[in-house]
Formats: sequence, C-alpha cells, structure tokens
Amino acid sequence: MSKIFFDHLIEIEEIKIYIDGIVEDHDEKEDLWNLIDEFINYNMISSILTALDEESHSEFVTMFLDKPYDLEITKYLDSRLAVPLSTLAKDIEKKMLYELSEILEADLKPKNAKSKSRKKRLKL
Amino acid sequence: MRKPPVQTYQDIFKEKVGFEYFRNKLKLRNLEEEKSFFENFPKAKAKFAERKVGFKNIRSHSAKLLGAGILSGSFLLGTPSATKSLPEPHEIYNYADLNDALAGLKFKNDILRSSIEKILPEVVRPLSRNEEKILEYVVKDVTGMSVKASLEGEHLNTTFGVIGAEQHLKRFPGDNMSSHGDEKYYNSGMAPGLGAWGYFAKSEEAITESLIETEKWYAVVQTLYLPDWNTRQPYLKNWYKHRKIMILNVENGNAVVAAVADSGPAAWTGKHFGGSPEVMDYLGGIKYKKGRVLVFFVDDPENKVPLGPVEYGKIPSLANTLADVL
Repeated sequence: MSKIFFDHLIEIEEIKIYIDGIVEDHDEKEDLWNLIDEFINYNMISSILTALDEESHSEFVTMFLDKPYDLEITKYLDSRLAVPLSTLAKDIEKKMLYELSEILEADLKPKNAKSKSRKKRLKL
Repeated sequence: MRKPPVQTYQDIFKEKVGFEYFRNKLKLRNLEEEKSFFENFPKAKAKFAERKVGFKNIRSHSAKLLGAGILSGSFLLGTPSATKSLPEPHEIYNYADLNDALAGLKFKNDILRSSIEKILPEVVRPLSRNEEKILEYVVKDVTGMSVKASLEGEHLNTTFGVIGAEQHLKRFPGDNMSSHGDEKYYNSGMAPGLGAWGYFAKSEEAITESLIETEKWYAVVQTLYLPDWNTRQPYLKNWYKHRKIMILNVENGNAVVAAVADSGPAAWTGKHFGGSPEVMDYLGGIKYKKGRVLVFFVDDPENKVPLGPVEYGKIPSLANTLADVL
C-alpha cells in the first residue's frame, strides 16, 4: 500500500498519455513514472516549505516523515498556509506540467487551457 | 480503415526518441532538485538523513509504515472518529430492506450502494482492516460472491480508489481493433505498448476464448507500488497475473469481475485502478471515464466465477426474497 498525503491533489494525466506514446516497454514506462513521482515529491515539499512559515518547518517535516500518508497533514497545512493546500497544489501542478513538458520535449497544455486535438497537443 | 483519434499518437513510435534520453534528463533534473532542496532547507536535510529516507524512496517508506499500521490495527489515516464509530455489520442493513425492495421496487444495487456509503470515508484513501472486513461481509451478503481484501496473504495497494478508463490491450502480435468485438468500443482504441504481462498469446492461432474474455474484462492495479513488489519476484508477478478481482462502483452499486492484466496507473494521475472499455461501460456507461470504486479479490479457488458483470442487481423474485426474509 502506498500513499503520500497530497496524492489526491495532483493529476497530471497529460504526462501519462504522452509517455504511453513514447515508451512501449512496460518496465521502461514504470521507470519513467517513478522518476516523475520523485520530481513531483521534490516540487511539492519544497513549494510547501517555501509557503510555510519557518517556525513550522521542523514540525511539518517530522509529521511528513512519520506518516507520509496521513491526511491530517493537509489539515495542519491548511491552518498554517496563506492559501488552502488544494489551491497551492493546483498552482504547483500547472508549473510541474510545464517543466515536465520541457524535460520530455512535449507540447503539453494545462487542463484549463483550451483543448486542441491530441495530435496537436503531442509534439510529434 | 479510419484510425481512431486516441491511436494517432502511435505514430510517435515511428520517430521514437530513446527512452534512455528522457530517463537521463529526468535523473539529472532530480539531482538538481535534490541539491537545491537541501541547500534551501538544510534542517530538513538533517531530518531526512536521520531517517535514512529520500524523495526516491518516500513512497516505499510510506507503504511500509502503512502496512505496519494496518497489521497492528493502529491505522487511522487522519479520520479516527470515522473508524471508531463504524457500525456493526447487522446495523448496516437488514432484511427489512428486502421488504422495501419489493414494496418500492428498489433494486438490490441501491441496497448495496446505501450500505457501503455508511462505511466509506469522504476522501478516497486506503481502508483499515476493520472497514474492509465489514465491506467484505456486506458485499458477500448482497451479491452472493465471496470477496477478500487480502487473499493468500496478498493485499492490493488500496481497496478504495479511483478507477480510470483504459484502452484495449494487444492480445497477440499483429492484433488490431477490428477483431476486438463490439464497435461501440472502437473509439477507446488500443494501447500503443503492451500490458505488464505482455501479449496474452504468442500468436493469433494460440489465442483461446478464455484469453479473449480476459482481455475484454481486464483491470489495471498498482502492483508497482506494492511494498514487496521488487523483493518477491517472480512469485508476485505470477500471483497477480490474470487474478480475478471484483470492481464495485460505489455510486451506483454496479459490479464486475475482471482479470488483472496490466500494472498502473502512476500515482500522479489521481487514479488507483484502470478498467477495459467493457469494464468501464458496465460500471457506469459508455461515457464513464473515472469514478470511485471498491476493489476486492474474488475468492475463487476452483475458478468457477466467470469474468464480466455481476448480475445481482435484478429485482429479486418473490420466491427468493421470501425465502431470504423467512
């Protein structure tokens, strides 16, 4: 069983579809999924720490390492951040989509951008 | 033949850029992220080092902690009150509901749906053993099918999660959509790569009716996130191959028995399971692409349970209902 407390706030489906198109072998695909997971974890935690007051850093990191899956962490952050974690997560998601798009040399748009045909969304 | 829109990106393979190239770029980027993270937050670095945890293994660290919590019964996931106040199985529904079913022409689906609603948390999360046990009881009692959250010591990544629509899988080399049955699923297309267990058969001649049904009613589960997936091979890979699971749509009570034939989806897609076009159609209709489901193993040691819809939702016949009530 595997869960990080912010999993339900991140949805980057576009990247998954793109990877399905560029990698055929399943093990290779999972390898890329895990590297993207690592990238997302870095970005989420560092963005949270940047938005959080410095006095709370130690407490938050301890909570995260003790129970990375615990949804109580979202409540804790909601009470300390200037904006709800879900709002912060959406901003981070958008930023990550652009950055991953750059790394993977794909032309991917955030969900709220006007949808074009899949062929246009994927730079062939 | 017209190429479905979802298949157009298969053309990418023709100009495929090496997997190694992207892998190296991502690895390099993660090294940069790590460096900058620990430079910006040196106190966090000390805490991570103390626990011997890094962002590379944070998911398996979480999986181990969760697994240990579930076994020891201390697993609460931030909703202690919800778990403590779980009703007893006999309180969830009783046979008076069947009387209601007759009087109000209420479908059994509704009984199941309203029963599980009382147990499930609002936010999708892994369930505690206690919650799973009660759900097993309710599902078995209403559908008549023996289901288990843990079977032969194995447990899925989660039993309560979000399912997403998948494409058809290639059953043998050279397989194409024209032989994949009902045309209404044509637009779902075929996945460009193979499933985690490869082709279903070595050739078109070697494909059997049973394997055709397996692909038709296939499911995707996150075997890649199982805490012991890498250390218990090839046992786990063999154990999960075409393993029967019951997928239950918690919004309408529709249930289907499917066979595990692929691994995924990635954690960052917001989904935990996947279903073939046929599975998704039965669970929620042809336009159903995503939704909350319960997933249990089907306890079927004699391999008697067929893949496909679980037809328990018909209005019970008067004779059967009276027999149940009396």
